[in-house]
Order: sequence, then C-alpha cells, then structure tokens
Amino acid sequence: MDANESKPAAALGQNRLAGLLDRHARALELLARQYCGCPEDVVQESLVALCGLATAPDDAVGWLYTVVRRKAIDAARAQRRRRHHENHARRDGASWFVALPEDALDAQAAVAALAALPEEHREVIVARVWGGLTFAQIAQTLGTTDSTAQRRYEAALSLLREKMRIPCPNDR
Amino acid sequence: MSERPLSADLAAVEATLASLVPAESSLDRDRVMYLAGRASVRPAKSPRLWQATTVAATLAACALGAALLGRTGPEVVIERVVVQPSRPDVAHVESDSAPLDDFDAEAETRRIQRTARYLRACNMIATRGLDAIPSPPLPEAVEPTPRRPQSLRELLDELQRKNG
Repeated sequence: MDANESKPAAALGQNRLAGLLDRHARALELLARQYCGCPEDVVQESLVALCGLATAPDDAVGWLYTVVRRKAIDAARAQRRRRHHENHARRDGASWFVALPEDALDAQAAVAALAALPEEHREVIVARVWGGLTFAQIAQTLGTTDSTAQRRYEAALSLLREKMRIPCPNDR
Repeated sequence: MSERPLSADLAAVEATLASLVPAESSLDRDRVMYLAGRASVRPAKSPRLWQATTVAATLAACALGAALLGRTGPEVVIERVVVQPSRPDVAHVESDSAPLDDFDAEAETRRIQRTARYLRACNMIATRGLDAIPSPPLPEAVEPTPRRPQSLRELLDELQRKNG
C-alpha cells in the first residue's frame, strides 16, 4: 500500500491524479464491474468528483473505492429500472482479466468462481487482491469493521479454493 | 488493527488470484484528466446552500400566500351618533343685536369696495398676467426748488436779480 497515495485533494495535482489513475483504474473498474455494466463511467465520475472536492478526504484511495462502489450500485439500480431485467453482461466475465498463458490460472474459471461468490465476498476479494487496500480501507469502503472485512476475505478465499480446486501447498 | 496472517492454503489462493491481471482500463485517460482539471478549477458548490435557499424561499412564498389569502379589507366601524339640535340662545341673540346700533354703512361700503377691487386685481393678474395691471398715475410735476446760493457772489447776484 502506497502511503503517499492518501493525500489531500488540494495537493492532488495532475501528477497525483495520473498516478491514481495508473495504479487503481483497472481495479476500480473491476470493482465497479461487479455491480454494473458501465464501470468506466462510474470510475470516471468518481475521479472527477474527487478532484472537485472543496476539502480533500484523508484517504483518497479509500474514498475512491467507497465512491466507486456506491456509484456502481446506483448505476446498477438505474439500469434495472431502465431495462427491467438483470444485466447478465456484467457476469459473463469475458473481459474481467487479461488473457493468461495456457499454463497459468484459467481466467475464465477464476471469473466463474468469482462470479459465483456472494457479492459481499466478491467485493472484498477485488478490493484486497487487485486494489491492494488494507482491511481498514475495505471496512471503510463497505461500511463495516476491520475484523468483519478480514473474516469475509478469508471466507471468500476458502470458497474460491474449493470452486477452483486450487491444491493446498501442503498437499503437494 | 493488525491484520492476521493468512494460512498457507489461503495465501496460495490469494497468490493465484493475484496472478490474474485485470483487463486494460477502458477509461479515456485524456478526457478524465481534462474533466478532473475542470472540476478542480470549479469546486462543487455545497448542495446544502441551495437546499437551504430553496426551503427558505418556499416557506416565505407559502407564508406570503397564506397572508394574502387570509387578508381582509380595512375594518369598517359604524358608530351611531345622535346629534341633538341645539336650541337658539335667546340671550345671545339679544346681545348680538347691540352692535347694530353702531353700524357704519359708509365704512362698510368702502371696505367692500376695497375688497372688490383687490379681488378684481387678483383675478386680472391670474388671467392676463402682471402686464394687465394698469400703471399707477405718475406723481404731479413738482417745480424744482430754487437753488440756494452757494457763495457770496451768487448771493449778491441773486439779490440784484430780485431787485431789478
């Protein structure tokens, strides 16, 4: 976790914003994709909102993940209202990850396993593994406690291990 | 809070997941930077200010509307006053007849004539202007007083002229 990323937005110059964009854009989009079908719009709105704040949040990264999650949930609700059916596109997972070599983990299997997780587990996994957030930041994002965030994370990893049949290192 | 270390099997799952790289961001980076820069120049105004202003204006409008609807015209108070006709005071009438004995008809006529002339003059000025006022008669020509001798010589000349 880059401690310098948590800076007031007053000091959030172009370089800092570019750094946030490069470091977290993918993970933020992945997080937003868990809820809605327009993750790039949600992330863009959140970044713009961060720069428009009169007083900066203490933790800009945590603030971003919180706002992206909230906006993505709102966007999903709006989409459901418009189309009256569940957006299956966000669950197909075709574009969640970069295609991997054949000998590496099957991205499609990982996506399938992730998509099968309960939402509260999935968002913890995304925020922790690809966002690099601490459990304190995840707790702030989800509106829960640190211990609850960590417990959900461990439970989600256990479920994924079962679904993806990842062998335990001790068994090898 | 200190984070508990993961067990070996969960750490392996975590490492496996971390090997997956999220797909390339589809954000338009230049557009995001532009919008963010614009937003930083124009900080978002507090919505509470607008909400408070709207609520205050709405309340004021409702209060004024209620006052307008409930307004009544000026209250008319009808008061009945019975006026009794006063009887003529006989003593007073008798006392008023006393000055008639001293009534000067000529003086009263002159006073009325002066008043009438004054009123005519006022009326004339009002209708025709100041030029309509007749010029007052010029004073009669007065013979110049003889010049008094100013010196002894003039006095002697004057005496000679009078004595022929």
